[in-house]
Amino acid sequence: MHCFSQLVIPRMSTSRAVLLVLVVALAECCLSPAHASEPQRIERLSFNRDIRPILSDKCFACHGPDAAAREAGLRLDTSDDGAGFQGGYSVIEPGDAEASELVERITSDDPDIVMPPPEVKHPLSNDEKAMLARWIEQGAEYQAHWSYMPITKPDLPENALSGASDAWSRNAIDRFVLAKLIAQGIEPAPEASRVMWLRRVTQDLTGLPPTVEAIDAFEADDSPDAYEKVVDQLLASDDYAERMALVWLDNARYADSNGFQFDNARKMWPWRDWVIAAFKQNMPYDQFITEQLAGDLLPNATDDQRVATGFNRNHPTTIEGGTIDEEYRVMNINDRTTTAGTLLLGLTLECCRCHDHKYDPIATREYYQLFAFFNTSADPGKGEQGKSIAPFIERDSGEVMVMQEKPRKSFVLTGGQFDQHGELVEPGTPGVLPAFGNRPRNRLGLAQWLLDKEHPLTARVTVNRFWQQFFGIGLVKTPDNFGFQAELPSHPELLDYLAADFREHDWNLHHLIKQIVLSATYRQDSTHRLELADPENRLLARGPSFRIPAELIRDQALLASGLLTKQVGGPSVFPYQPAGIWEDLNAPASHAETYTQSTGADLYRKSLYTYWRRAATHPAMTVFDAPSRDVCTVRRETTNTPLQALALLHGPTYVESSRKLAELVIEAAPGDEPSQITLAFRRTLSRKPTESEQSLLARLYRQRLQSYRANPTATDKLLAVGESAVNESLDANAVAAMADVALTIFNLSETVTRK
Amino acid sequence: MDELNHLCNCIDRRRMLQLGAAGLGGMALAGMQAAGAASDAEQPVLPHHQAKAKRVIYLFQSGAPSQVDLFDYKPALARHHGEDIFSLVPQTRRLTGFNDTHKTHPIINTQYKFARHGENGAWVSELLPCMSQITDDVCTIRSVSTTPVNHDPALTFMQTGHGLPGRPSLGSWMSYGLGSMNRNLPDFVVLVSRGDLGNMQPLNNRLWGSGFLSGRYAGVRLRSGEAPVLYLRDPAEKPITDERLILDVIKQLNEEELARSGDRAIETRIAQYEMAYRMQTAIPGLTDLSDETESTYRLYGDDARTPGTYAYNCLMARRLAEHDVRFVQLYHSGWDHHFSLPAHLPKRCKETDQATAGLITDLKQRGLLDDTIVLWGGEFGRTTFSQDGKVRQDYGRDHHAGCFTMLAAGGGFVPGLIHGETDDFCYSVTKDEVPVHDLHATILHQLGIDHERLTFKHQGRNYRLTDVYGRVVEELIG
Repeated sequence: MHCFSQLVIPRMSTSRAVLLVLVVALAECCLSPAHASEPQRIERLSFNRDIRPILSDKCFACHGPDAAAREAGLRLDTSDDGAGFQGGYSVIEPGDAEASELVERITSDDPDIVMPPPEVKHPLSNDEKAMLARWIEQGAEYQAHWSYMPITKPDLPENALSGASDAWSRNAIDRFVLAKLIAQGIEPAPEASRVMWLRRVTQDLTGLPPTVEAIDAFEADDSPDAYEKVVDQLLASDDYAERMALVWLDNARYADSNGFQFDNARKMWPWRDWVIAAFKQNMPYDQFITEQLAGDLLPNATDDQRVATGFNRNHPTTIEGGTIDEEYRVMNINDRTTTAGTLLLGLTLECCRCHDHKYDPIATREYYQLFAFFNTSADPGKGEQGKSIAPFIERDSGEVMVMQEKPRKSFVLTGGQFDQHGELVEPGTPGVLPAFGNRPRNRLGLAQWLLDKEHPLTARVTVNRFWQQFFGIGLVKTPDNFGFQAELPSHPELLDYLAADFREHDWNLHHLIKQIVLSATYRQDSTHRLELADPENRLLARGPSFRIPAELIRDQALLASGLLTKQVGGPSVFPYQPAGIWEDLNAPASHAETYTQSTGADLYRKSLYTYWRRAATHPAMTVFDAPSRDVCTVRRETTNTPLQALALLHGPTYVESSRKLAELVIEAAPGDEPSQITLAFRRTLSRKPTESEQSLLARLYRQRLQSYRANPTATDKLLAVGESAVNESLDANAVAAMADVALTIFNLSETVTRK
Repeated sequence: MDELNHLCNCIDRRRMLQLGAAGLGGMALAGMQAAGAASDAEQPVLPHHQAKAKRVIYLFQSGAPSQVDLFDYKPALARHHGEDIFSLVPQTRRLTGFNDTHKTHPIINTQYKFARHGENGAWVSELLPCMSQITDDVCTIRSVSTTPVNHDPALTFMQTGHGLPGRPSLGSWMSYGLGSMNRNLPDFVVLVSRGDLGNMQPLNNRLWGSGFLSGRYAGVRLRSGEAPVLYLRDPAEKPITDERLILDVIKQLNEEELARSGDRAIETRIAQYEMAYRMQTAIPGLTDLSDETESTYRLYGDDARTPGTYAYNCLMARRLAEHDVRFVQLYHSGWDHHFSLPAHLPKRCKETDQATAGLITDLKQRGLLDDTIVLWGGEFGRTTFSQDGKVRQDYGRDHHAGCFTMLAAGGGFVPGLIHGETDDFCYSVTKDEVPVHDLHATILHQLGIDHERLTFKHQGRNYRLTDVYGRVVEELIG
């Protein structure tokens, strides 16, 4: 792309002659959008990689899968014939760009002729025009969309430089990664230090940094399986189950409140605890999905399996007066359908409610066939204040909403309107995906179909999401979209390998995760390699680094300070929150809820257990990009804002934790400030401070100590923050000064980064 | 590097790349050239055209004020008081669940006197004596229409162009598209006040959320009280000079880590800590009203002295506009008058009338109205027929999506224009309908933005504020 920007492009009265010159010029360049950072030449354009993204983005809205919107009977998403429409070949002469009407139309100067029409304001760029022309010159070969093709387990690449078993690779992942690096002429990054790897893997698998004891033990263990032993220990912990659950709660849009209107409380935490227990026992992923989608339909369904179906009930519900029950009921079914689409199929289905998909070959009718699987459920659209919405089961002295079948006809809803019934439809799956077969046409059959070994999407989408969890970005960058508009995978064969392997190993998550975290790829140092111009690390030429999620920022401070309460499950809790957040919702007195802060150990539970109110998520979570969980979320953002700085500098959790950490390190090394600083540093950042870090922090300590000694009121105020007891046996001024050092450490960029 | 940090503050990576392409080529951008850079080149460079306005103050009257008791004068209501509206106009619109079981829907005349005001002769109800004085400065749009008939989706629609949660609000689009104009304050600030009403509509954070845009474009709520921004105040109350010592060490250690790791996110984080520091002095300065004179309170009313009131927030909106905050979103709740409208509507008007007029007048006097759009309105309108199927003195009105009145002042909206007409029973627009998407398109247009070109690709689709709709209403902007 760089070379292209240097081309002097005449202000094109784009005659085809000029265009063909351009085609030749471009042949000398690397211009594939999906591979823009690769310096190699691309000899032959690929429909999937180079052409479909252009057609999909610029042409399919009128010449794509949506029959109703199709102009001039022409669809460009497929090559030829079919029933009653003209495919791409009606305007393309394979091998002859100049003779192809498509080229004439996209390069015309005449506003009445040129495509796309100027009024659409979404013109083709010159390089896109040139690519289309060149693809035609090369024979205009169409390909099926990669993610709809069956998954075949690829052979491991023979790496040209090093032979089949190179010295770097530790497992299959590395073979694929290295093959690509070698093709680019890039060396992998050096191995991360042991501490860095331990911190990385412990954060990834447990959401917490390693303890000082764990670091010392690992550094002392020179046995060949030291790394694997650590991973096995971590995978067996409650912390692991909680860490995995944290991600799934976003996916499954779990919350403790109803969402719409007054956003009052609901009780779904027993479902959350089911998720934690499932991860703790390493439930096979296919069972994990089946029980959540359709546990109630399993033979002799247990209470646990029925609780699992709360997954489908997690969406927001309303109690707003004046709403029409059926309208909200349909909205709920839509939510379940699109959640399954996003989470399991990697397909965006929202648009199909009203019209055929503009990009992907999914018709409105097919959407409502999927919808029909979820439509036969007994729950109404609307609830009443303070009541669970039936059906529910009794659990932990309360009612948990679950699924229950109730026969109901489904129709295409014209224009997506709940009361505009069109054609009657039976439950079914999109024609572009494998046939549904003789399975029962209910949610259980749907789960079986999704998890079938022929299914091209579920396993790919799943391993991609787990990859994202460990590398910050998926092999497919858009975990929610594997359709035509999605960017292609950075390592397509690796994705397929992992998907096939995961399925072959009975959807065993431990197996998948161990492969990832024990790979040489994962073990690389994460120092950014600016010379590679690959800031997102799509090449995997270094270890991944990214800001840790909101919850873990808080949990880490609680752990470092010794405040963290480790207790699995139970009702959600209410940590410190600025006054008035719930009152700000403006609910009338009859519907208002009061935030009653927890006391004692409950103040220091993991953030996973913080009460999740959708309309007013905890502000310290929100500033660090926790979603509202109104809808299924499969990727969180990582922003960088001044409000984050304020939350870490002034949030009572951090001020209190800094004091407790100060007390702890002073007790551990009385009178020895350098050791105190080192310990505070290690408890937070795992590594030891550098000399310069040590001296800057020591100077800060001395300055602050002097200041607190001169101003005892300031000391008192600092020590008064938080509910935890003050250790009266220590010098208050020293505690306050060391607390400022600890707060400084909590605020370091490295502290909130997993690198 | 300071300059770069500042840029990082204000603009996102995409726009950074455009700047790079536009000539700041010497900047060390190599590390930021992502694989997606090819599509970045297609991101529109803003503004798309010469902007008329650079700020918006949106005075949202949450709950939906009754247009027929305030602005859209309908003498026919008096003649047909008590008659079933659907014997006079065909029912073409769905009723809410409150009203769909009533046998008749009797028309209720307004209890309030209307008179013409200003040179433009705009009809305004007696409930709004101050706003009556400024009709020539305001563009009155009587023909706004929306789709949802329940509060939550209608509020969401008005703020994000879509009735379901998940899309960015108007202020976020603007912040995303145009970036920041100041160094010390957020681009998009939210102020909330409430009228006292039993049945109030909740104001959900997502109304000023950034949806699928980066969270940095979300509205920042300025609360009343000691900590207008959450966590602005240190609970240990260290003097800012003491905190500066800590910040200096954080900065030095972060710079060391930046040098070690090459992670450019650290550069941004360093800049954000500096902004957090500046906010701690800028925001108290903003909320310290000691520099206001008595004339201010004559203009906005005495309520403007009390934090948390609508009048105070209007005054704060002017101060934020002076500091070049791009988008100030006010909400005043308590307009949902299903019952006993005559007991409540006058109170809401009293709370808001003087301050609304005062704000517009103040901006005009200070020369800020030319490039500031002030919007006034609710999420839908109210029915001319009775809430409960009965004719009564303490009537109420139900939700009505078909037509309602909004006001726009400044920023190139034609002053004094009265746009659009509704039928005698204020059931439908009869002339110059302005659907919400058209209003959004027009607002963006005034800000120099082509609503069809300010897009963000999410889940494979280019989304925009106006969805697949929207038309710039040329008549409104002359």
